[in-house]
Amino acid sequence: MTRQDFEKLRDLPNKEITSDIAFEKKKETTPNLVFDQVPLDNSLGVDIVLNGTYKPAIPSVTFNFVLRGVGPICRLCVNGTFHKNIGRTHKHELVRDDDPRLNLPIAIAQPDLDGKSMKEIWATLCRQANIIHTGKFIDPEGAVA
Amino acid sequence: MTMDCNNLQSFVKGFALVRHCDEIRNGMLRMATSFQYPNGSYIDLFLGRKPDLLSEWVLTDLGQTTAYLLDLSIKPWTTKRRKQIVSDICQGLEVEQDGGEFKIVVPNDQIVNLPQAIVRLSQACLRFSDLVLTQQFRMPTVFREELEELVESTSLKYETAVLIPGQYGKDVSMDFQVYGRNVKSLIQTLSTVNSAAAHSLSNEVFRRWYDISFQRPWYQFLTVYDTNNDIFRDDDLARLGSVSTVFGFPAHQEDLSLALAA
Repeated sequence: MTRQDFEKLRDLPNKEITSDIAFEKKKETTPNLVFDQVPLDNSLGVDIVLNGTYKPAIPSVTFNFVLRGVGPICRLCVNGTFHKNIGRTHKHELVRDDDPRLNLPIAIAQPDLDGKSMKEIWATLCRQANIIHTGKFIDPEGAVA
Repeated sequence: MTMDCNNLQSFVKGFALVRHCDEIRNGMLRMATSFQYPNGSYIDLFLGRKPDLLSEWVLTDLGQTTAYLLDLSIKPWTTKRRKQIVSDICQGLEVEQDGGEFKIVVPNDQIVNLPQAIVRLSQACLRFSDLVLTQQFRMPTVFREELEELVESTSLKYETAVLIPGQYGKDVSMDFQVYGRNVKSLIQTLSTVNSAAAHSLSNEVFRRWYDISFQRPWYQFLTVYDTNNDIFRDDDLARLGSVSTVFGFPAHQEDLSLALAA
């Protein structure tokens, strides 16, 4: 995928997620909760799935979009690891063709999401990425949206 | 300026292992170390008292390295080979694995050795994150070798690269023929690292099954696809399911072993 292909997909309106987003406990990922393989429907027919990790002890959350067979193309990290000199809350994006292989080394700060609830973070992500979510977002902090 | 052992030490002694520290919600101290994952993010380690033993400290990555690998669709627990790599790293660096988390317990009276523990655990996290290299250079031939190891472990007689007469005058190549107790199985493998190739490869395997479909009364047709990366389309696998029995490997290797032994 090129940067141009990525931008076309990112800017495409009416992308849709119909599944519920529910972070689950798995013994292999404790102490963190995860979900994966949530399809992102889009009119370009690009095979994209979403996975996520919620780290309750911190708390921190990651939403990671993966082009199946290629690797991650976009990831939102809130209160995660420091990335270079841009802080703990940021968005990674595909810029160069081989960025998925390198786990998206380029990111931009997104401090507006610091201190937001999980539900607000999810809503912001959907709005900024032109995604309509028709399933439920099960708030890992307890509330159900 | 000349460099000798004395002034070299003066250069490096001021280097900080920890670039930043804050307290997280559960009361542990979060340290951004000077070590980086392959994508440039700094490795975080967390320090806190063991809840049951106040005389011990625990230094942990709180599962962040496993999360890093999951972002790359790599599940460190899925294959024997990966589990062995993780176990070898843990053993070599005296690190414990607990679910998705890697940690070192530091007794209270040894807390002065915390810097060494930070280096050891960071080194372990870095090496775990390099599991991505085993994924990216994993070729279809390696997949077939791993599958052959499984077939071999069943103690059943088998052959590789078998030619079966097709219905259009050409022989069709199969990856394995396995002699079960009552049933002979033909196996076609599906593995690639290229998503564009995954679809055409699936179509080619479908064609091969179709060409020998008249042989089905005498054989069990098995398509075995690589579950180490989520690359194969659901519709392709469903189509293959109409002409063969489809198994994911290594994810469903027990089911596959049972089918082979039939």
